[in-house]
Amino acid sequence: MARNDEKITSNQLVAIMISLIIGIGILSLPREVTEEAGPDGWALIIIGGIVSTIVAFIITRLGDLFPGQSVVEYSKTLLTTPLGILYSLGFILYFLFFCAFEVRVFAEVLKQFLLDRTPTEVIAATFLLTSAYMVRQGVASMGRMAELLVPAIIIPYFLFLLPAVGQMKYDNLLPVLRTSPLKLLSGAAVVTTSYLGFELALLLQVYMKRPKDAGKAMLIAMPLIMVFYLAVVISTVSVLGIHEVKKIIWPSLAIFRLIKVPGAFLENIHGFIMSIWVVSIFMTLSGFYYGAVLTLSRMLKLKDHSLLVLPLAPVIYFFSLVPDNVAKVYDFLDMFSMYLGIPFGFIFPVGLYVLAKLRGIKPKEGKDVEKPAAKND
Amino acid sequence: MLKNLPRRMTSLVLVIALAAGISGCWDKVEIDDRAFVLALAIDKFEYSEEEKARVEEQGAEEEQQGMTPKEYPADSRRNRIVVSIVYPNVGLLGGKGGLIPEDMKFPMSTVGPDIYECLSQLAISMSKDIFLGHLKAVLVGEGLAADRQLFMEVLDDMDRNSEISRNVYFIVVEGKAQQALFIEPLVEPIIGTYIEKIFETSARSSRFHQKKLGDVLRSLDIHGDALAPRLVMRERELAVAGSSVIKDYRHAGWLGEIETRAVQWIDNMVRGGIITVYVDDIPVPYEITEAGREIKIQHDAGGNLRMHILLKGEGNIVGYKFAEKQELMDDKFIKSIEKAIEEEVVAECTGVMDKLQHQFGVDIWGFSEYLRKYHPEIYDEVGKDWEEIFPEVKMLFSSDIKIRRIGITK
Repeated sequence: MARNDEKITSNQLVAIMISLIIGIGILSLPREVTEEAGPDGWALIIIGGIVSTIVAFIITRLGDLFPGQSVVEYSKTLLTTPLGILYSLGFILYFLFFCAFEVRVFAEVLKQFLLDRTPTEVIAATFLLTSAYMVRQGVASMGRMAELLVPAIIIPYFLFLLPAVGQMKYDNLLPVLRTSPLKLLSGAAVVTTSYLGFELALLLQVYMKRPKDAGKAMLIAMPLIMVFYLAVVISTVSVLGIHEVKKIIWPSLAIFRLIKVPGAFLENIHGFIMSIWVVSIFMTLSGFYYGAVLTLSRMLKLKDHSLLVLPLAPVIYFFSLVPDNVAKVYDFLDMFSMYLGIPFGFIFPVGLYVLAKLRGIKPKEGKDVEKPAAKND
Repeated sequence: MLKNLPRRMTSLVLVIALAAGISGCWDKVEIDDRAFVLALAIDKFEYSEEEKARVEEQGAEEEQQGMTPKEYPADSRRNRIVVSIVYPNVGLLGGKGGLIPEDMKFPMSTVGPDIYECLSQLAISMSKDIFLGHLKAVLVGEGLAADRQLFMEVLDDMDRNSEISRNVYFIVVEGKAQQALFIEPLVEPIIGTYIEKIFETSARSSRFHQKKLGDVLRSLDIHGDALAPRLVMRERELAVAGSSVIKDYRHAGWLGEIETRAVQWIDNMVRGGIITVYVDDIPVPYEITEAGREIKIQHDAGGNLRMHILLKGEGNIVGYKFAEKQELMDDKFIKSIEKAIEEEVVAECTGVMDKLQHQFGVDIWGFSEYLRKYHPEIYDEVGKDWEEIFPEVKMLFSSDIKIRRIGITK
C-alpha cells in the first residue's frame, strides 16, 4: 500500500469530515427541514446532529475494538465471512451511489446557475476526473487538502453572509417549538441523512497516526458541522420566510441572489458562493469516491488502491446520468437516503458495535496498531 | 540533466498541448454580444377598437386594389401577451459611437404566448444575446395584472428564472406598460435605471410601496394577496406613486399616495415623508423622521377579535406662516399641533383600513402571518378562515406623534 503508508492526523480527520459531510445536501437542507417542521426546522438540525454525533462516536469505539482493522476486515469476524463480504459490497454500492448523486446535483446546479450551455455530461466528466486525480493520491493528500480547504469554505461563507444580516427577519422563526414532538422526531429521521458521511470513519480510522484519537476528532467535527448547518438554516429561513423556503429547490443559494453588497460593483455575490460550494462538493465527492475505492481494494487485498480509481469512474458517471430530470434526481435521493443511507450510516454500524459488545470482544492490547491491516486478517 | 532532456521536452510539449487543447468554455459570451435588458414590460394582448377599425379599413383598401387583404391574427391562442424590452447601447457606454440620443437605447416589442417565447421572437431580429441578469425593473400593464390567469403565468415565468434577480422592481403600470417603457424621459434616458433611481432616492417619501419582486412574490406565496408599487405615466416622465392592490393573484384596484403611506405605517415601513395638517387654516408641514407601530390583539367581550394599532412618529415642523402672532416656540402650541397630526394619521389609517377590509377584503399586511408568528393560539382558531374573518376584525387606531424640532426660527 505504497500511497496509503502515510497517515493522517486527528486534525486532518476533523477537516476531512467537515468537508465530506457538507455537500449537496446543504443547498436543499433549509427546504427539507422547513417542509418537515415549519419554523422549527432548526430543532431538527440539533436533534439530527446529536444522533449523528453519537453514532459517529460509536463508530470510532468500534474501530478501537479492532486496532489495525477496518470495517472490511472486522465485519467478517463479526458477521461471518460471506455476510462480511456482502456488507462490504453493499458499502461499495452505497459509496458509488452517493458519488453519483454528488456529481449529478453538482451538474444540475452548475447548469442552472452558471454554465447553461455546457453539456451536463461534460460538467460531470470533468468534475469526476478531477476528483479521481485527488483520490489516486491517497488519504494523506486528502487530509492535507481538507485542512487547506475547510477554512477556505467556512470563512468566506460567513463573510458573504454578513451583508445579509440586515435583511434577516428573525420573526420568521416564530412561533418557537409549536410543532408536535412526534412530528419533530419523524422529521429528524429525514434530516439525519444530511449528516451522512461520518461512516467513512469506519475506513479512515486505520489510517490515523493515533487511531485512538478518532473518537475525539469526531466529537469535534460533528458539532461543528451542526453549527454550520444551523447557521445556514437560520439565515435562509429568516431571510426568505418559511413559505418561500418551501418553494425554492435550492434556498441556501437563493438568499445570495437577494443580498446586495453595499458599495460593491458586483451585483450578485452568488457566483462566489457557487465557487465555495464547488470546492466543498469536490471534497465530498472525493471522500466517497475514496471510500468506494478503499473498500474494494481492501477486499481484494491490493497493495495500491490507485489502480481501482479510474475503472470506477465510468460506473459513477453512468449512475449519475440515470435520472431523467431534476425531480427524479430528488426522488432517487430520497429513496437512497431511506434504504441505503440510514442502514449503512446508522443502523449497521451500531448493529456491529452491539454485536461486538455481545461477543465480549476486547481491544487486543499490545498489538502493533501501525501494522497494515491486510496482514491482520 | 541532459539525459533527462528529451523526457522533459516531451512532458513540456504535452503540458502545453493539453492546456491548449483541453481547456475551454462553452458559455463564453463577449460582453458586446450581449443585450443587457434593463427593463421589461408585459401587457395583455388586446385589440383596441381604433386599431380594429384601422385594420378593417386597410383590409378594405387592399381589397379594392385587387390584393388579398392581410390577415390579422386577432384571437389566436398565440396572441396572449405583449412583451417589450429596452436595452442600452453598450458600445456607447464604452465611449464609442455618436452621442445621438436615439442611439442610446433600442426599444423592441412583440406578441406571443409567454415571456420566453416573446424574447426568442425578439432575439431573431437582434444581433445580440438577450441577458436578463442586469434587469432592473419589470413593468406589468394594468390589463394583464387584472387577468388572473395571465398574471399567474407571468409571475411564475419570473419566479422560476435563475437569471432574474429578486431585487428587481416589480411595478404595475396604470395603462399600458409598453407605453411607459417607450417614453423618452427627460431626466434619465434609460427607463430601467430611471426607475431604480426613483426607488433608491425617493423611498423616504413613503408615497409608493417600497417592495421588490422578491417581496411581492413572497407575499403572494402566502395567500395570493400583495401590494405592488404603481407606475404613473406623464408626458416625458414617469412617477412611482401609490400602489396596486393584488387580491387572489389579480390586480383589484389602486391605492393613492397618502393611502399607501398609511398602509406602510401600519406595516412599519415608513421611514420619512411629509404630513400637512391645518392649524387655524394655516398649513403646517410635518416631516417624519422616524416612525413605528405596535400591535395588540385581543378578544373583546363578544369573543370577536380586536386589534389595537398604535402608530408612533417623530419629526420636525418645517414650515408655518411668516410674521404670525402665535409663535411655534411654545410647548403648548406644539402639543396641540401634535394632536392635530395624530388625528390626521388615525383618520388616514382608519380610512385605508376600512377600504381594504370592506371594499377589497384583502389582508395585504399579512396579519395572518403576524398571528401565526406571535399569537399561534389565536392563529389556530382563525387561520383557516382568515379571509372571512379579516373584514370582521375590529380595528382600533391610536397615534403618538412627537415634534422634536421646528427649524431655525422661532
